[in-house]
Amino acid sequence: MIDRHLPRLLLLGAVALVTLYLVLPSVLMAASSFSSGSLIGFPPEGFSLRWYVHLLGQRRLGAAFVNTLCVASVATVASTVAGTLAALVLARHRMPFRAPLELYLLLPLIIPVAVEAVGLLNIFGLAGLLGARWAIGVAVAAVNLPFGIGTVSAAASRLDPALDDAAASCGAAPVERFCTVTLPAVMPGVLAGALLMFITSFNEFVICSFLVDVRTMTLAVELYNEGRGAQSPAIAAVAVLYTLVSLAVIYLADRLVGLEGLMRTARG
Amino acid sequence: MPPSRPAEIALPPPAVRFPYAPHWRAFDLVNAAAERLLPARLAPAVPLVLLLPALLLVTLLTVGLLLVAEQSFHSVDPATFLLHRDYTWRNYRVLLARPQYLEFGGRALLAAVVVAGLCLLLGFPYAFLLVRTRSAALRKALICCIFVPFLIGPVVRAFAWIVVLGRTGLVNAALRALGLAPVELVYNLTGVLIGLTQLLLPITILILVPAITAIRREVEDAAASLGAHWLRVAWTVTLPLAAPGLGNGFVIVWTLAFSDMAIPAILGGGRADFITNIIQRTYVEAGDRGVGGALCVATTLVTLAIIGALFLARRLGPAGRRSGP
Repeated sequence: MIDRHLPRLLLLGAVALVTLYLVLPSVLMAASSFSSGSLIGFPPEGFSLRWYVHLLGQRRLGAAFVNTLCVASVATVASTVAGTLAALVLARHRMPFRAPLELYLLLPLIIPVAVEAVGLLNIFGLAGLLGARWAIGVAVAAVNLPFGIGTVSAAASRLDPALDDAAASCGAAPVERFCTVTLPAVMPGVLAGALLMFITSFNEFVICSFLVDVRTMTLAVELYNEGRGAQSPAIAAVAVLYTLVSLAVIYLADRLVGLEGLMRTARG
Repeated sequence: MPPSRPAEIALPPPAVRFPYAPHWRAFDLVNAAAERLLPARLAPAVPLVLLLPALLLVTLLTVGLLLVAEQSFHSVDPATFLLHRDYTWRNYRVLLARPQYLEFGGRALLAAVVVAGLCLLLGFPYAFLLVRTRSAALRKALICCIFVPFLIGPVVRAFAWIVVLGRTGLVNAALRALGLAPVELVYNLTGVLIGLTQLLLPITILILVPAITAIRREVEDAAASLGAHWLRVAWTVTLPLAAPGLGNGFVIVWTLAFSDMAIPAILGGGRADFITNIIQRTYVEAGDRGVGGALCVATTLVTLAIIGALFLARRLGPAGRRSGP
């Protein structure tokens, strides 16, 4: 009897180990954030909320948080707009040079991120845009564009072209058709993609580490700089807040498109 | 074709007054404006116009790459950090002459291969269970476990690994409790591999799920009903059918691992720098835009070559011939 169940037991065991591998660091991080000691370690010494209180007085972290929000918002808007339009066009219209264009739009994935960052550093330097948060947002949008396109193209490919024709035959002009038929049909995919884009831009490290300066420091770079020395539980506290935000995002996404829809969207 | 106006026929007054809704009025204005901006005869150009934002964003990156490539052909004056005016191959000769660039590049290459392999190995059973389980609750829990680390970001996750693997971390505390010697699992290549694999596991699983979903359960049942042991079914039926997804996953995870910067920097402790860390150190910290630019160009070419080779291998391999792109 055990032989019949062996494959299932092995599978469950393997998945349990992988789940532990995925989740353990976050759990330990959360435990460390409540430590009353001053160094991250295991086991955590005592229980205290002092590091969360400490965070409230950190003006640098607060400024970095605001900067990151700005950058992530600009990046989300830019990549969602550009990505939605591109995905819809590529899914519905027959156009010349379609394959080269699709390949061109995949370039941000192929060029290494550090190289892209160096290139952007040059362009922004020439244009005098270093120190502009919106420019960093645009840079992040450009780098993450393939994900923005991919998330919508899944929904766009499921769009029934007959709906558009039906609306046209009822007398709707192109712009009206786009606003009342096409966009609402792909909206769940667009929203889920925008959510994922926001979180990805919020966590963007490589591009920001090349492009930020003291005025526009983002949270990921600030954490990196602070963590290079001794790691205090304050960083663990920030990590826990990050995790809570992620959980909130997952909950939101679940309400919008359902977790399985999100999974289908995420892989594009 | 614009909607045609109804002909003027004498009709009896309508029994019910039909109000013209305000949003119809609004759309009439919008349609008229759109008609004026982009007349119908320019309609074939509309797809290109809609693609323009995306194309502009990508062009930002390609122009940046070209600028860097141009810089790589000038050498840097060590006193002023300005570029000399003449074109020279000097930077590339420096790249080939100093062995450490090859060392960093090779390390990143091989590490990325190891990480991609591990991700596929660990991700496949997870994705398989996620797809095949009949319990919706378990599926939701499994998806949650993927997404939460995914959304936390590389910096925080790297620090979390230090909590687990560091000298005062969980693993060493357990070893000390058992009376064993402590193990150095962070601030070296091992830590980087562990951290990178965990970072890229969610993406691997997300890529493998559609591939496994496409395998019909009946095929495996048919093989089992013909008397095949479950291991044999997995090896001869499931894995070959999932091969395109595995190939895709390998390419994507390899690319992401090769170009990662945060985890090698934090978990490597300076002893396991990847080529991206070297680019940052050369171009930004040392200010050598010449050699840094040459490094960028070389890294891009290597990435292009390897992605191209992997892609071709998939297309020309047995799975590629059967299933196409």
